[in-house]
Amino acid sequence: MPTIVLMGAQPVNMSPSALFETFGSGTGVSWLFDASCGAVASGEPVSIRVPVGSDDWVEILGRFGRCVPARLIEITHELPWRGRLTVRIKQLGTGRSQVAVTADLDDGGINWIMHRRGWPTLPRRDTGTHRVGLLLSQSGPVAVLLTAAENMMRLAVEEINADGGIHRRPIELIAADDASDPARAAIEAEGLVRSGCRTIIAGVTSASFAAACARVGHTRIPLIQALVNEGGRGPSNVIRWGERPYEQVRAASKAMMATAGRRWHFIGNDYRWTWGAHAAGEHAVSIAGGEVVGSTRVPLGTTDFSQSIEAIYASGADCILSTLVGSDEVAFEQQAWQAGLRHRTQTLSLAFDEEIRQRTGRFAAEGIWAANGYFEGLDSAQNRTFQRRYREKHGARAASGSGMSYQMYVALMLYADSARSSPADDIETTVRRLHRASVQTPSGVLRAVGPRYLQQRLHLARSGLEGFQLLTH
Amino acid sequence: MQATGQQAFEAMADPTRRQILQFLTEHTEVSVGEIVQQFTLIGRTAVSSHLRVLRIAGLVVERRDGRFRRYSLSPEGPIHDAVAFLQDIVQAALPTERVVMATFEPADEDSRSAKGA
Repeated sequence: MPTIVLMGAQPVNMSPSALFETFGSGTGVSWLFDASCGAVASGEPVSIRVPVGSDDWVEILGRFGRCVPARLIEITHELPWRGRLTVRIKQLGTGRSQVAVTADLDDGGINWIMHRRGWPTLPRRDTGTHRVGLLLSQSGPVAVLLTAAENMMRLAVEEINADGGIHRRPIELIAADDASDPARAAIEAEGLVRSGCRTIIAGVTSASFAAACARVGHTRIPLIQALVNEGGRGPSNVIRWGERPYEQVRAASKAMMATAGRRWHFIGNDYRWTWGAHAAGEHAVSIAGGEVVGSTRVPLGTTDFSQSIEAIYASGADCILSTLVGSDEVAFEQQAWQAGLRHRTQTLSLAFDEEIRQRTGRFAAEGIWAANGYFEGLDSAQNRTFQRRYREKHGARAASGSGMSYQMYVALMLYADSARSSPADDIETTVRRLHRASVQTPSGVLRAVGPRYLQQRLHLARSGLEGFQLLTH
Repeated sequence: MQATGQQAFEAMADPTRRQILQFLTEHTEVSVGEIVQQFTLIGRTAVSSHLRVLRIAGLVVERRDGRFRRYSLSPEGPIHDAVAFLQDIVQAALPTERVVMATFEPADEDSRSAKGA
């Protein structure tokens, strides 16, 4: 992977230790030094707002790598593009330092920036590869949910290519960012089609996926929603996999209600995912003998949940169902914990995995329930090997190979299986095969049943201080 | 590379030139005449002038075909622009003297150097 390295350096009238102390302190030193983080220590998550225009910014999501006080800060990041930022501080004299900043990135990063700058997607000439489009939220509120998505996809690409690719063509992944916005999703989906992609695998909200399908569905290429979603109708080339809210709530509700009580308050982002998930959740809760006593919906991109938390208190709920997504979910759980909600309620969150847990913080996340098709800690020989491969390829400090990003991996494995067992370039047969695709994975056998359902075992877990604790059910 | 990036950035700033670039995205290689036909409000001289700016900025390549000149998008132009943009961001990541002076606290510095830190 070709890497570009850019650097800037400057002398500064501050001692190295004083300068190091300003990192993460929010004192307005620079956009980089104003990073949001807890401790400046290896493995800790960090998010940084980068100005990209007069009134525009994006968020870099990553983790600290090697850090040496007063000398070195390394940040490895996956979003909005994969790369590394390094701060090096050297003493020049008493109260004087030289600071150097380097940015490393690859052509994926350059492509992201080109897109953001408004450069149109150019048609690409055929390079003898089998192009797979990856429509991903690399920026915006949803991004934090997808931090490890591309890492996971690359693992699948490696596996599939090692096995001969698809009809002797290696897979080439082309990623595009919907910026958590359905209008952008439609434009980027069109760009992916123009780039010669034979399928689009989506790690975006249901709203973005629906917009992409409306724009490019007529091309008949398989459009695959990989993440947890509320389901929905569509033509045969629109495939919706991932977990289903009805099954997630069924898996968790009895155990939660036994601990807390039968009254539920539902909270979610106000778009079709939540409408579908809450309807399904209500059905599942009533079967378990529970009752929905309150419901709150907020726009995607909400940061202040004080009113929502008041509403939850007021409803007298024992259990909370959250269908909030990405950074909204992180903010809500942090504020709920600070407001003392954990003493009174149990929370089930439907888009909650290792990455969201780490961003929320282990104390704020403690006790939260999740029912996912995959957890990093699943105890099987195949999963241990899988996680080892992930770490070997992406490094100890990469984002966790998490539940949500794992669904992207299985989606590509299922697609490859279907494409291989169909004649080359025969889209219609590939689509039909996708309806019955089946693959042995680190989480067990996954089997598609028609275009709108993927059969997979759900695992129930609770967030503990050291990670997810898996519960048998 | 930075100079080219700056030229590309300035070339992109004009809305007509952006429209011409968009047109070139949709058609692999075009003549001046085809562009003039597409943008009825812009005369031939203006189109040629825009194309010259885009060519100098490295965003468009010109190919002579007998008497005719044909234009297509340069694959490198957007890359130069992206790299120049990123270089600006990296530069802005450095602490500025002005800001550092505002956060500088002399008392702490004295006590630190007194302890030999």
